[in-house]
Amino acid sequence: MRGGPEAYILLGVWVISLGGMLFVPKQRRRESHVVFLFEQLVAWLLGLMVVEAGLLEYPFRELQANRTSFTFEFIAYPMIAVYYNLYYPRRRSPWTRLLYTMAFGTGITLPEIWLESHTQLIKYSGWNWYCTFVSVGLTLFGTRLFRTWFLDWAKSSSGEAEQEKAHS
Amino acid sequence: MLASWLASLSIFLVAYRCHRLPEAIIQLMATQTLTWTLSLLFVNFHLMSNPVREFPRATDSNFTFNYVFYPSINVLFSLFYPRKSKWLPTITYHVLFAFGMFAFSCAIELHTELLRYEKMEGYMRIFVFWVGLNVTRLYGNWFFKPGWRNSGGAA
Repeated sequence: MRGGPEAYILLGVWVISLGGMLFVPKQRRRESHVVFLFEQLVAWLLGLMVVEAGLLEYPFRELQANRTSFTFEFIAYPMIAVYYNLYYPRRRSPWTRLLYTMAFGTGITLPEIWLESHTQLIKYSGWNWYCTFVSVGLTLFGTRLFRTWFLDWAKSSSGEAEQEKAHS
Repeated sequence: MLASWLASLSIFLVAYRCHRLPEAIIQLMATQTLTWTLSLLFVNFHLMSNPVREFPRATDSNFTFNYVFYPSINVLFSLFYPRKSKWLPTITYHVLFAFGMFAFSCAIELHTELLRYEKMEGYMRIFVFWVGLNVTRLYGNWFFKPGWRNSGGAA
């Protein structure tokens, strides 16, 4: 990886993402871990598929051996998903939740369009801004579904197992 | 490769039968973070290579092993870890898994084009496998330590 504005942008993303970890409330750490890890595994697979299909290119990369965007998939996007879930308006109407999700989609799509036209960090080759918008919206909402399902289910199911142990 | 997916699936069936699927999922996701980073670093700095792989255009690293197979082995290691045993069975358990994974990687390297170790000696691979197994096991212990339900945030 050589210098240039791209390197500083990536460094900045790492610093902001790592810094963001410090501001996750302590009582919501585990929940955020679930979201972070789940978003990583989704982004890893989808990122590989999209690059393999030739839809996206990342000319300037952290690791030459990896032609997907490691910084985005590994830390930036999972951290965005963490904050998406931290402030998710779960008591509000479905329309508010939809708007909230779309706001996050816009918040990722706009900087990406700028990066696409001004830097070598990302190049669309068969991709469109609305693909980003839709896929971000769907995967973020996916983390919400997974998080809620996992926490409900993990808390009840492993509780049963422990109770069984206590009785036996 | 198909066998790896099947083996991983069967490990999850075992976890399901033991009512320990939540633990298995957390361990799986934690190990993926580790295998993803490490495999990319190893491949990038020419410590190993994967001549035959699933996404030849997108990455130089193998996908199946890092995404499901190694993580599932770590799940197995953590699920049946002898928590209450004396030191001898515990050490045997550690040795069995670390050397088992090493033997597996040797066999794959010898008989297929999936793995090629270039500048990685055997002891280093055993060490990496062993550290990986235990880092994720300890992470799982932290996640599910008693009282975790009250500190996980309201669902």
